[in-house]
Order: sequence, then structure tokens, then C-alpha cells
Amino acid sequence: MAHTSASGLPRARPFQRLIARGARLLARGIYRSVEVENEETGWSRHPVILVANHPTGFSDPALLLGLLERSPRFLAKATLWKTPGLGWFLDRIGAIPVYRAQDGSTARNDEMFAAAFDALRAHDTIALFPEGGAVDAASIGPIKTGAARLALGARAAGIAGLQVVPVGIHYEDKAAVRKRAYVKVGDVIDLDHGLDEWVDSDRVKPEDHQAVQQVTEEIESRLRACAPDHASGEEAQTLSFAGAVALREPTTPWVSYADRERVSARLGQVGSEARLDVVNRANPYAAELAAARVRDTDVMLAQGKTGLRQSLIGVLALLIVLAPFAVAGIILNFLPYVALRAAMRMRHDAMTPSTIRLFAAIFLFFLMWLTWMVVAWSLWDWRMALVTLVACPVYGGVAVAVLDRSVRWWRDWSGRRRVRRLGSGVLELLEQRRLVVSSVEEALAA
Amino acid sequence: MSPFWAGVLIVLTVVPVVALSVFSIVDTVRRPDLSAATKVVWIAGIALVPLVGGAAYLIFRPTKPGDIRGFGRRGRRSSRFNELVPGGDEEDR
Repeated sequence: MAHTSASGLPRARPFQRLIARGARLLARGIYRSVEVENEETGWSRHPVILVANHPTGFSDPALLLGLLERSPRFLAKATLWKTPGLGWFLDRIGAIPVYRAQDGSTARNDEMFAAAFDALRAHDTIALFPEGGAVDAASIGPIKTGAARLALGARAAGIAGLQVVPVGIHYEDKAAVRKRAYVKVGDVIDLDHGLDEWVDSDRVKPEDHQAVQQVTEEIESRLRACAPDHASGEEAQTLSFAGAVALREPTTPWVSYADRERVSARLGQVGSEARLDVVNRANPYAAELAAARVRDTDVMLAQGKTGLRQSLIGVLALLIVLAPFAVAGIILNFLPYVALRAAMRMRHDAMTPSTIRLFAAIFLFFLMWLTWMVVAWSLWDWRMALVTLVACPVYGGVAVAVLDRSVRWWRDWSGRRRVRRLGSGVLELLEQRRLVVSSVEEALAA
Repeated sequence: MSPFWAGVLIVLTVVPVVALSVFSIVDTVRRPDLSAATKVVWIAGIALVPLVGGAAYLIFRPTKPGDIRGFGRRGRRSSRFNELVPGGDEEDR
């Protein structure tokens, strides 16, 4: 079997592929959809330093692991290795410990740089979160200089073709399960070409503070351009809502999360007057919708141009064919699911503990499956035990797929019914809605 | 169990498993990136170990040849988006 791909680069090892698959399954379990933009930029042929924003401690690495064919080598804070189990896992995926100043001595970071250079030389991807920790805000925090020092250091160590790839991670609601995620690969920095545009060529040394600062600023601005960037969480929410309203049409009342984030990112960049106009129109409409207990989707559905009844046939067929599996999946996975939900809902001000609890909640799934396996073994024999072990995750996935579709269909159906019961009240909603759409159109045209 | 319910049970369990196997085998055959030998191994595995073989195939199947992949839905723009933001494509590149 060949071990190199068409591009001549080493192929992913089976274990890395397994990790990537596992991460993808996990991400697809936690999030309803993960949309990726600009993934085909050709940078995978280069040694890459991948810098991403860090809204959640747990899901971000899982998304990045799932995104890449070959596991990136994460730079992770050394204190994570103290958690039993997590340290073992970080070693398995080849994470490199970083000794942060806030955790004590940074003396051992020379080892980190040496390990990272070796990895880049082998055409591995280094992934890091340059904010230096998970950040719970509507925009990225000031980024640390590590990425720039790594990039300039690797360049000084003779690694050619190095690229810094900014990746923006967006979550619809990071504290909930089965919401949506969007990953945007940003503008790639090519260190062999264009570095002298913002650094004096004779200053490009990893020891030069000014050069490090300039490269850091460049990385920050490019990461800011692809990550969520809003003045406040409330404004982010309002602009996202306004974007969705403007994107929704009677024929297509469901808006993709990526489109919604793209529009709200643009709305965040328009002049403050136009932005205020959008906010002032969107907020009363949102309040009116909440008072009537309907969603904007329902208002569009009530325009009667979407075949909800036809889609019921598909949902029912799915429900009938898969119902026994779904019920089994719910029973087998109920307890760890409740634990996972509780862990996701935890407050984000204590980032590390909540990440570890999430890790523990995922681990609970495996524990539950092992328990069922033991139960099956004691009731029947080892063959049934093996079948049970496979059935638990498979039926769990079936349960998620079936429940997701039927619950969403029911929400659409009952929401549309509530809108129709409003009678002529819907005219006022439509009028307010029109104002929101025109304010967004004006803001984007300006 | 009456013959009727036995039949229902068979339909409910056998049909999805057969559908999974058929999809996996057809997909294996159509893939350009696998060698003939690898295809034979996969097909044998899928056919001989019904549910597990098909599930394993789906897990190991690459969605597209590049190094970085979209999962689930691709981040494509809707026509309404292009209407709202003309030329948005070039801006994002």
C-alpha cells in the first residue's frame, strides 16, 4: 500500500485517521451541522501553523481534529496534563505542552519550540489558540506573541514554505447541544512571500521584538477577519437575527448558519449609524415575536409556500422504519446524554473545570456502553455483549437523527399554526419584518 | 410470536442493514482512490460482517480527497445571500 498521497506528502497514519473520524463523529453528535468555508486553499501542502479563536475549551480542538485529514499537533497548556486521562489522550494525539507565564515558570518552553520545529520540518500542522486560553466574548481577545515567535523561529531554523492559517470558529450557541457551528478558514499568511511587506527584511529574526510584534499584529488582524467580531454579545445576537430575517424567504424559510454569520459579520463592519438602525428595527420585531411565542421562521412558513405536509411523509417514513432503533438508542444512552447536557450548560467563567466536566460527560457514554455490555454478557453470552457494544453508539446516532428531524418538523408545524391563529395580527409582524429587511439591505448596500 | 409480527421484525431489522451494505458496496466500487485489492477487502468485510462492516466502511470513508474537509453541510452561499451581498464571494477570498 502506498504511504504517500498524490501531492507527495506523507499520508495520515491509521491511528490519526481514527482520531479524525472519532472527532468528526463527536462534533456531528454535539452539533447539528458544521459548515466549513474556504477549506480548499491549497495550504495543506505546506508546513502550517494553524491559529484559531477559542470560544470553548472542548469543542474547538474536536472541530479542528475533525477538519484535518492528519491530526494537527496542538500546543496545549501544560496544566492540562495534570488531569488524569486527559494527559494520556493529549500524548496520543501528539499535543505539545506550553508553559505559560501565568502557570509559573516558562523555562521549559525551549523544549516546546524544538518539538514544534521538528513537527513543522516533517510537514505536520501545528495548531494553537493564540488568545492563550478560552475566551467567552463576542470578539477575539488580544493575542499572544507565541504564534509569531514560532513562525519567525521556524523560518530562522530554515523551514521553507511556512504558512500561518487563521481559522475562525463560530457557534450558534456554545452552551447547548444540537446547535450549529461554522468554521471559516481565513486569509493565509505566506511567510516566504510578503513577509517584508510589514517587517523590515533585516529585522526578521525571532529575537527581534519589533518584528515579533508586527507579525503578531498581522496574525491578529487576519484572525479577527474570520472569527466572530462584534462589539458585544447582545449586538452579535441582534445582528445575527437581523441577518437571518433578511436571508429568509417564503420559499426557503430555513437559513444556513454560515450565511447568517457572513451577513452578521458584514453588518458588524458597517457604519455605526446604519448598524444602529438595524438594531433598532430588529429588537422590537424580536420582542413582538417573543410576545406572540412564534419565530421568524414560522412567520415565513405561514406564507404558505413551503410544503410542510409533503415533508411530513419523509419524517414519518423515517420515524416508522427507524423507531425501534431510535427507542433502543434513547434507552441505552439516556443517562450520559443528561450528563452531557448538564455539562454543556455550565457557566463559562470557569473555563477549565467546565471543559474537564465535558470531557468526563463524553467519557460517561463509553462507561455506559461498557455497562450495557457487561449486562448483556451476564444475561446471554459474549457474542451478545459485542453486539451490544456496537449497538449502543449506532442506535444512539439513529435516535439523534430521528429525534432531530421529527422535533424540528413539529416545531415548524406548531409554529406555523400559532402564526395562523394570530389572524390579522400577522400583518403587523410582516410590516415590522419588512422594516428589518429594508434596514439590512440599506446597511449592506452602503 | 405470530408470523405477522415476526415478519414485521424481520423487515424492520433486515431492511436497514441490507440498505447499508448495498450502499457501502456500491460506494466502494465507484471510488477512484482505492486499489482493486483494497476494494475486494472492503467488499468482503462489508458482506461478511453485515452491520459492523458497513458502519466501519462509513467511518473510514473519506468525503473528499483534500486534506481538509467540510463535514455535514458545505458553507455554500444561498441565492438570497448573493442578492443581499453582491460580489461577496471575492471579498471572502
